[in-house]
Amino acid sequence: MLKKSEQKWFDLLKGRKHLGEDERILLARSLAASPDVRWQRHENFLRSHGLYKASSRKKFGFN
Amino acid sequence: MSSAVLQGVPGSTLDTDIWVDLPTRAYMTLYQLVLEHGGKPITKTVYALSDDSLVNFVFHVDGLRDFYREYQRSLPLRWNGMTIQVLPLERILASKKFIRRPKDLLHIPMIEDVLWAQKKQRSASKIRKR
Repeated sequence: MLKKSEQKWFDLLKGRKHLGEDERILLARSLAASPDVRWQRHENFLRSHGLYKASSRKKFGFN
Repeated sequence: MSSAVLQGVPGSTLDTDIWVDLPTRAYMTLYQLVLEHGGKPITKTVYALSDDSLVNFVFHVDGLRDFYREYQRSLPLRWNGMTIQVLPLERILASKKFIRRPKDLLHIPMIEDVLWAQKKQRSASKIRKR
């Protein structure tokens, strides 16, 4: 369930017809969040794929 | 792309580009600074910081004007207990549209969606205030 602030963005994004519901949810949550929360989510995403640390990326072929 | 993430674009990036107002030959200054803070160099401009995250110092950004003029239009943003200056989404978009690497082409529609939503939200707020 979306928070009230997220729901406002979600409703607004209904005007963006090319976006699916899941994409609107993703965007709404991002737009409603503070910069710190946005960055935390981004770091969590990279960590979940083992891509946050330069050393752990080497196995995927990154420098 | 890091500053786009901070401004609400739900994308991802593996390093943080930091635009510095220094001549390219001054990379040693940055080298010393990073080393003093526990980081280590990977190339002349790319460093792994003490938490092993990557930063890339850039001396020029394709598709944008010079540092001074872009800095004047940059936005202050509270992040991690600091105030940092970031390029507005419109300028990040301009650079990505100019560079057009495959990853830029993926980021462009995401940035456009966020700009569209922010613009709509601003005009809705203006109407409510009247």
